[in-house]
Amino acid sequence: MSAAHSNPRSALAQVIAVMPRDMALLFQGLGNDLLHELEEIRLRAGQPLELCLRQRSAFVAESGELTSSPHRGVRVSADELAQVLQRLTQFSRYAVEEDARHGYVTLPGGHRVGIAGRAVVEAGRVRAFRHVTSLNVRISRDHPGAASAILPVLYDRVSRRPLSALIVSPPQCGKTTLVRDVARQFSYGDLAPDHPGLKVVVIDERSEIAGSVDGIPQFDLGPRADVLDGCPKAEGMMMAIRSLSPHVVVTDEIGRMEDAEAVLEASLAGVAVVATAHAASIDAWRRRPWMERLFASRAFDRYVVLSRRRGPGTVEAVLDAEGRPLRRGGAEAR
Amino acid sequence: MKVVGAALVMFACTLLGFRVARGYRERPKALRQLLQALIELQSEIEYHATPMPQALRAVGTRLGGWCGGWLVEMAKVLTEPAHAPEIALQSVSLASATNGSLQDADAEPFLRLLRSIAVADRDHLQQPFLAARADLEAAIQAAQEEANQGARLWQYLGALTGVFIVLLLL
Repeated sequence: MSAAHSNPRSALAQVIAVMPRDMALLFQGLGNDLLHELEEIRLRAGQPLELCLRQRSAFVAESGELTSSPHRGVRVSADELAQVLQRLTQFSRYAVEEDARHGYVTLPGGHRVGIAGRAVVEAGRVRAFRHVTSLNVRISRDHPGAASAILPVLYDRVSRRPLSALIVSPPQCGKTTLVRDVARQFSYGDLAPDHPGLKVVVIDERSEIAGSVDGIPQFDLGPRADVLDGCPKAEGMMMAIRSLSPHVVVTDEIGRMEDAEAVLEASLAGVAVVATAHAASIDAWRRRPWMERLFASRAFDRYVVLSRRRGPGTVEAVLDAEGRPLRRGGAEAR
Repeated sequence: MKVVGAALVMFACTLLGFRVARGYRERPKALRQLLQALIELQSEIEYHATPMPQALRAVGTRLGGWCGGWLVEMAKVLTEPAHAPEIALQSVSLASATNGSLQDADAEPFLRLLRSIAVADRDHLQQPFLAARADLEAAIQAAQEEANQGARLWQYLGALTGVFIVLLLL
């Protein structure tokens, strides 16, 4: 295991590897400062290549410079897009079929690539995408220590056990980065000086938390972490509880009925669950089907609300099991 | 001296005939190895949904020999960003890998299969494998018939050519 992606160029290496040669050369010409700020690469057929940086977005000109003018940006051809898609799927659409059905493919290293195009619908469900017209590459980065600020509230010093927590925010606020660092710090035992560390099972349905390649995590998750890579969350949680005896189960983006049931089951089994969910606030999250039941059952001891107000990972609030604030303020987790 | 010379000519011509005959016998053997690779690749891809480069590498490593090397080389070019995958696959020569036992054109059923399954979903993987298998089995049968006739013909031809040259020289 390695602390992947501390260097912006190595973070991008797996992304550049799927780009056509000319496009890859443009990325190689970008400076390190810029790469540090890079959050998304947007490829749209017939449109200029767009980079979304931390505070702004820009197009890449033929000279390799960034420009705000779309007319000066290098246009992405349909052929180039098809080539990127072929490389993304490793020339094996069958292998990413389930993910692609949900509109994304995950690259080695945990970079998620969103897909847009014409959906092929069968029996009312999206079966695949053909005529792909846009790809959105979300750059995944590792920030060791990102969870240090919230770790004390995720651990009960009296009972010496980890607490279940849900990390809530809109997209791109650093939920996955935070949850990855929670897993790592629990696994290393960074909770208290005399704490030996906890057995952590990461249910990584979309390969974003561990960024596994051929099942091997590319991010450092510590010495006591087991990863169920590509495994559906609900099924993975039950498998972990039955066979891996975890202290903590860590997973990303819960939202379905079966996820809620698995979280409940874990909490009843005495296993802490640290999960994330897309929502602007706890109230908004509770309005989702099945989630109110989860809230009412007090399956989570803590709710952490994130935003981008002071950059990704800004902790807006930490709430207890009943939704009452433990503390408030703009502390930055990372 | 003449006898030694005649013996050498006979030996050289017979050897040449046997070498050509061996080429005929090697071809069905090499095609059978390709078929074996295809069967293993089918299990790797159809049942485990292994992405193509990893599947080619895994089967290549298991099989070893020229066939294993050829598959591993294909896996390598698929992961290199230099060319589009379809063009990259064609750059891996089957003729070089087999030292001429097979021609690059013999790889066509295999390459066609890879191109088909690259864009197929899991429900539609079996058909391209069946088609490639049928193509390869037909090629093996044709090569075997050719080998049965050609190998014996060249063995006789080599020896007879030797006799003919010796008679001419004497």
